[in-house]
Parts: sequence; structure tokens; C-alpha cells
Amino acid sequence: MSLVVLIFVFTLQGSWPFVTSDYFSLQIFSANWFPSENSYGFISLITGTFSVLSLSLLVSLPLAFFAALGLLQFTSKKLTSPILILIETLAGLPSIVIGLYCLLTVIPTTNHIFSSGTSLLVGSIALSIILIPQLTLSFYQSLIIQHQLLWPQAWCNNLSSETFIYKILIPSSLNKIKECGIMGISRGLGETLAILMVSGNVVRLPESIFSPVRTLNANIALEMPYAVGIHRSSLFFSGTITFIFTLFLLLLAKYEKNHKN
Amino acid sequence: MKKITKINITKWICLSSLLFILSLLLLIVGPLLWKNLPDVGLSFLLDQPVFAGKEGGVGPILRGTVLLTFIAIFISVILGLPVAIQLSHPFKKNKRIIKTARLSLDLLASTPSIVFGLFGNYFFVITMKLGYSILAGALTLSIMILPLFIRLCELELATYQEKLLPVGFSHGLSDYEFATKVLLPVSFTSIGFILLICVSRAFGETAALLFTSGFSLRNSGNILESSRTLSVHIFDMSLNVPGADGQAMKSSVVLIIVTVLTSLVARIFIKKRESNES
Repeated sequence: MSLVVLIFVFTLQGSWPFVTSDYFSLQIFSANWFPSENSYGFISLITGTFSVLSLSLLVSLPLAFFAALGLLQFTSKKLTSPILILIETLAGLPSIVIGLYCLLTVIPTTNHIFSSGTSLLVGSIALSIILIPQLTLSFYQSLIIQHQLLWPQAWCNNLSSETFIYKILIPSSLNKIKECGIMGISRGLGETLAILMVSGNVVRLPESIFSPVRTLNANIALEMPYAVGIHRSSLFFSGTITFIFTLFLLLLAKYEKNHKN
Repeated sequence: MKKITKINITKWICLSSLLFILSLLLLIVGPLLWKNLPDVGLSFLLDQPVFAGKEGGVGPILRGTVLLTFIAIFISVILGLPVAIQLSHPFKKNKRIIKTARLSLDLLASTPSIVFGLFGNYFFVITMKLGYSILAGALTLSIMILPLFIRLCELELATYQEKLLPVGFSHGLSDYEFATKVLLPVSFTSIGFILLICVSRAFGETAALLFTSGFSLRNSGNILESSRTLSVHIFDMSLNVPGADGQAMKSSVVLIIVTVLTSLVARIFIKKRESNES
């Protein structure tokens, strides 16, 4: 328990010199990140983070949800547990391996097709590969209880699986689905190195999905080794930003879980 | 000819997305293992890295990783087991302290790993003056796997607690006696398998270790010295050292084999026991 407070206090303490310094002003909402000139604008980093995140969620959320549905409703019972184990294996792959895979396989492909190389697109592909199996598992676990409870009754009432899915299963477990989605977002927010390896890391507002971006976490990982003084503490500050984002998402998930029941 | 109805479309979408996910697994792991497995021999596992890792093996790195993982697991067992026992206690569910503990564990579980890295850097490396060392990395990592360990342990222990606690209570065992003499021996093997899952998680962790256990390639096995772990090695090889992609691939094969095997064994065991019980 106290560990959480400890972590929060120490990251905050690390970022304190930056917050109290002269450079902490409206400037942080600018897009200029030039630490050597004492100009710390977080907006391009935050935009980078959220563009990668939203692009990959656009793909991975529906895909994971439908896969979980398919696993529940449309596969035979014998196949379910081997498939689950396979997906668990995929979810347990270290993210660094996925980053390496994207670096060595996906990037040459996109280079060939779009001539773009490391870009926002590849970053979000990597993030989706990481997120999809984890999201599928959590959707599956949140749906299976309702499914076991309600499907026999629906079957006895001669409902088609269409009516069951759209009229009963999804509305009845909407809270849990939302909660899982939000937790997935927070997990994607925390992903660092896989995205760092493939997304190009240029601090600039992205113009298209083929332009390179740098995320908040990647920024920390890249500049931490040589940062000193105010620069260092500004990195701690960006750590605090992601921490606060996840805290907010967690509370949102809790709220979604509780407010209807 | 089947009619194209809403349910057919749904079914088609569901099954194809499932297929897509499974094919992802084969696409990523398959070629990686198939191409690089022949190159990974005993000599690769034991040799010293040469030319900043471009050639040679991963011997000291592997040793550092194993050492770090075991220290981390050890610490998180010491910290986590009492908490898990308290959390799974069936009569204390609504106490305020238990609720706050749950909330903070959830928070800990969803904290980005890079924030753990920053925290570890500030607290263990600078404030506690451990420097970039295996010990600092292990402490950071242990905090990171703590929520996973506690959550899994709690699920395991809850079933035993519900069955055995009334019996223990009526025999006049104190909470401490009950925990050490009944609960832990009974759930010993399953906690072992939970630890395997945690090991696989700890092996794959990178971001938290970048700023805590450091980059050093040479390590003599001293826990106060810096040592990179396998996943940090992959990261470094693929980004900072030009022409070391092959080494990165080989190391990642080792990493995949270790993580997948440990988590697979543990999960199959747990699944099997669940189906036996029900």
C-alpha cells in the first residue's frame, strides 16, 4: 500500500525542481522540445503518444472483442482450451521480442510499400500486436461468467445466437466490457520500448501516419542516460504525467464497473 | 446457398479475427525459432560477448538475468505472501484496509513500467546509494511483479481458506499457526507454479531495468555490480550496436524459449487442476 504512495512521492520529488523552475509555465503546452535551449514543450510528445495509442486501439479493440466472442460462441468446446493456451502464450511474449520482430520484418515491408520506414504506423502495429492477445483474454474472462449463466436459458428459450449476443450478452455485460477496454488503454499507455524501437523518435507533431513520432515513455527511455539537472527532472515530470493518466484511467474503470450495479 | 444474415456476418467476423490472432503467433514465433534455433548452442549460452556483443555469447548476461530474477522473486514472495493471505481471508473482505490494499494493488498493476524505472532510479540507485546494480534492478522488479503474484496467490489461497479456515478456527489455531502449518503446506505446489508465471514476466521486463541495473556487459556475479539482462541486451543489440541483429535474434530465441516454456508449463498445470476439481 505504502509502496504506491512511495512511488508517487519519489517521482514527484524527482520532478519537483522542474515544476518550481522558471521553465515550467505555459511553455509546456508548446510543441518545442529543445532541452539544450531550456524549452520543454510536451505537446508533441503527448500527441505522439495518443496518436499511436488511438490508431492501435482502433484495430485491436474490435478485433480482440470479436475474437473473444468467437471463442465463446462459435468454436467447439474441445478447441477452446488449447486456443486459450496459445493466446496466453502470445500474451506472455516479452514486448521487446515483438519490437524486434517489427524492426526486422515489418519495417522493411512498409518501406517497400509506402517507402516510409520507422513511423507512427509501425509503432501502432507493434502496440496492437502486444495489446490484442491481452485484450482478448480480458474480454474473454469478463464475458464467460455471463455467458455460462445466460446461454442455457437462452438456448432453452430457442433464441438464436444472434439475438443472444446482441440483445442479451452485450447489454448485460456492457460495464465489464468498458472496464476491460479502459484497462487495455492504460496498458497501451505504459508500453515503452517496443514502440521506441519502431516509431522513429522524432520530436515533432505528426503530419500523417507515415511520419515518425516519439512517445512520452520513449522520450524518457531515450534521454534519461544523458540528462542532467532540469532536463532530468523534466523527464521525471513526464513520468508523472503518464502515472497520472493511468491513475485517471483506473478510477474511470472502477467507476464504470460500479455505477450501474 | 446460405443466406447472408446478421448472424452469419458476425460469425464470420468472429472466427476470422480469432484465426488472425492465432496466425500472428505462428507468424512471429515460427520463423524466429526456425531460422535461429540451430545457431543457439551451448557455446552461445556460456561464452563471453565479444566486440560489444557483436560476436560471442551471452554467458554473463544470462547469469545476471537469472540472479536478478531470483532475487526479485525472493523479495516479492517475502513481501507478497502475507498480503495475499490477508487478502484472501474470507471474513475480512469488507475491512477498509483490505479495500485500500486492493485499490493500490490495481494501481500498481497498471502503472507503466517506465515509471517503475524512474522510481527505482531515484529511490534505489540514488537515494539508497546502490548505484546501477543487480540489487537495485531486482528491488524494482520485485515491486513490479508484486501485484501479479499477489493476485494469482489470492485466487489460489481463497479456495483453501474457505474450506479450511473454519476447521482451523474451531481447533483453536491462531492466525499465524493456521497460515504456516496448514495453508502454506497445502498450497505449496500451486504457489510454485505461480512463481513460474512470475519468472516468465520478470524475464521479459525491459523498461524498468534500463535505469536500475544498467548496461554493463561484464559481471562477475556480484549483486552490487551492474549487469544487463537478456531483454536489455536485445534492446541494445538491435538499436545501439550496428550489425548485431543476428545476435539480437539469437538472444530473443533464448528469451522466448524461457518465458514461453515457464508460463506454458505453469498455465497447463493450473488449467488441469481446475478441470480436475470441477
